[in-house]
Amino acid sequence: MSPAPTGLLKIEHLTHIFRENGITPCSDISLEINRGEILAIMGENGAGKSTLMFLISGFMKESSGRIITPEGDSREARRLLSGMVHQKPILAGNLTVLENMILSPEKGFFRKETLKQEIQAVQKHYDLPLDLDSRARSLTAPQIQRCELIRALWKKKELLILDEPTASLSPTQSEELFELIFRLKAEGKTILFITHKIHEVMKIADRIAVLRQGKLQGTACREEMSPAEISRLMIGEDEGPEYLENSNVSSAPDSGEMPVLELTDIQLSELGSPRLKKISFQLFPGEILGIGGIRENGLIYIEDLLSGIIQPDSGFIFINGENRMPLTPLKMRRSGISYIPADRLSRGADPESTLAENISVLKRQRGRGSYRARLIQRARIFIKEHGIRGDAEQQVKTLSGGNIQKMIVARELENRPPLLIVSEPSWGLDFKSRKRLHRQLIQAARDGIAVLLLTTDLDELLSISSRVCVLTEGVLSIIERNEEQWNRNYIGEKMTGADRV
Amino acid sequence: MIFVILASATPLILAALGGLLTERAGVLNIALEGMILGSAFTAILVSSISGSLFQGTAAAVLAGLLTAVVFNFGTFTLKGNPFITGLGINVLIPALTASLSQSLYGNQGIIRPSDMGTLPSVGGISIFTIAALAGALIVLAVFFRSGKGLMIRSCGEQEDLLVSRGINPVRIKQEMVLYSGLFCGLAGASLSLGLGVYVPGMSAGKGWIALVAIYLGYRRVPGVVLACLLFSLAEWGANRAQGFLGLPPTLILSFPYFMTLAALWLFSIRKSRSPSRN
Repeated sequence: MSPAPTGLLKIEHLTHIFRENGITPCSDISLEINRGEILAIMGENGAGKSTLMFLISGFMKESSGRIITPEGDSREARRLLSGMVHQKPILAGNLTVLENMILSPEKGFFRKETLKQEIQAVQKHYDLPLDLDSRARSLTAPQIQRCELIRALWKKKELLILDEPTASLSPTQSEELFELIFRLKAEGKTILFITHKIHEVMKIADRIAVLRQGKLQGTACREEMSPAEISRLMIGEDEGPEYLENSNVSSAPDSGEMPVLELTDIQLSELGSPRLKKISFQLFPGEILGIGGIRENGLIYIEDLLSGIIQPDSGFIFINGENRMPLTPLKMRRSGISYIPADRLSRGADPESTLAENISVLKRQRGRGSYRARLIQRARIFIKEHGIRGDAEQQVKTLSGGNIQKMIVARELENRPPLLIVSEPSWGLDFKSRKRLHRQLIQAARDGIAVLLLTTDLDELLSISSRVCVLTEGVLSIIERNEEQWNRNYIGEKMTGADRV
Repeated sequence: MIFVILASATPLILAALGGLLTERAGVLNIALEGMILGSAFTAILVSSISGSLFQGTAAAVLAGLLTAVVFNFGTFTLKGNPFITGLGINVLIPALTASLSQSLYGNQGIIRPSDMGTLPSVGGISIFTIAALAGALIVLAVFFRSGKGLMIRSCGEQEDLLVSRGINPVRIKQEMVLYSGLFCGLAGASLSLGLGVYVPGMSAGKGWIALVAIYLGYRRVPGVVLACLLFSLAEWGANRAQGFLGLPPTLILSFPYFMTLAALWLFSIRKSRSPSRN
């Protein structure tokens, strides 16, 4: 074992209350972080993980309590100590990668070339390639992460905070990240790793801290905690196995039945490089067709295509047997199609508007009396029915991610659409919400809705789909439901064949 | 011809640079117009009293800064809507100058002090024009080569990034409003001292045109300067055309404004046609 651990950071009775809505994401947390350890912070959505990290990194100011670093307990000291890789990207898109890294409270003129060489040396040392002169706006999620990581390493931050770093990574990329983390640990860095994936924690963490509803449930060395125990601490009650059984095997579609959605020979290229190559598939009522893949590598194009935001170079989209080209968002909605987008805050909901407005956005309210009163009354009923935690007149941006998704899912399923397009539905959702969502999707299929599921989450793909396809380098391949193909490894390998970065 | 155009573009360039600073920091400063007019008045007033063009210019800059402080107070301290605050300033200043003019000179019209000197110039180019062009270069260098420039540019795009790096975005915005006050102070001084006269409403929409120039120039320094020059060229052309075109002079004089409008249309059409994927 290593020599007796020395403390790097001490958190004493830390409490944070959001002034706008009185929510307490962190309450009375006391925790010690040792030098040179990998500490995994686990918890459901809204458990307070991100807020705790924002407090540690000095991004937010605590309501009460102290965070003591070797240099004192000011926000400045914390900022200097830690480098955070955010879950929600906060880079300035109009600046180049290099400029984003340079930005600091220093005002004077800088020597761009010198700084660039310094950073490139760091990149070379850790083998983290990234074009420093590209605009931050054009980066993909893994690249944004890498950008923040390189900056933290360049600034020689002792404490690295990674907020759900694997959420947007492919399995191979995650492996690479873990290797880097081990290497940084060997160099004496301290790493805070936030996740709700237990298998990752069992692989890399030295110690585990579990949060639930803003309170620290306990910390322990990895050896002392079993996965079942972690999951019990996270969830608070026994919820059974994490994944539903593959119970949703629908009967093979009748050959005579009309597909709700049919794509034939769709081709799409962007900036000269082909993204989708001769994509064809059919979707029948009552089944969940899961398409797996890496998001930037093609899933995002299928999503945009079907929601009418982009047009293919060639090929046709048939809805209920009718050619609906060119498909537009309006036409899509007019055909009664429901859509649960991956990007909830810009496509699925308007964060600035109230919950009531977001719920009724697809529906005209008819009747007597004040429009607003009816809107709110209906929303109240809706909120209660679907167990959304929030008020009808509350702005959607003040809700937690899980509750926003709950609202979107309930809204999209309300009118029994013939076809439901779902993209990354459980992104950022905790265990319980995720299970609930999967149950909702399966129920929707049983009710005769045709569900198209676009997901990068292999467990989700395998556990609820009736049929599975994988998109690799723009080509769709069918996964057979048999021993050899219907499993994580096979699909993972299939997906990562297309991997880049 | 080039000198004439440069001279008439000078206040525009100065004001547009000030507006560009706030725009990039994420504040739409529509008070440029009021800032220019107030400074133009102050410049003439102080120059005629002190007999020094330099003191007049310094006073104009102070007037611009003072207006900026009012803007900051309304927008950030009282958390008012910046657009309304700016409009308020634009309405307030002409009235304020008129009443000051009434009490000091006994009329609300043109003020033409008799003993005004001429502005220093280098090779026929006014010192203000040189200041405007130098200002453009300085802003350019600050934007791309200094820490402050990075703060300004990211402030209008992603405030959270600044917060995470320990920088207060509101302070950056306030500072940029002050700088825009300074630039507009110079713009106002160049306008009135260049002619040696103050005319009510002499800013003649220059603050608005400067705002348009910012967008027309793609919010980049060279583009903004070019847009200002383009507008001045149109103005020059319109002045010349009065002599030989058989059109009503008011219609001809409105040509630069039409051109600005047309340019804005073209700009927005181009923008909406260019493929935008985030």
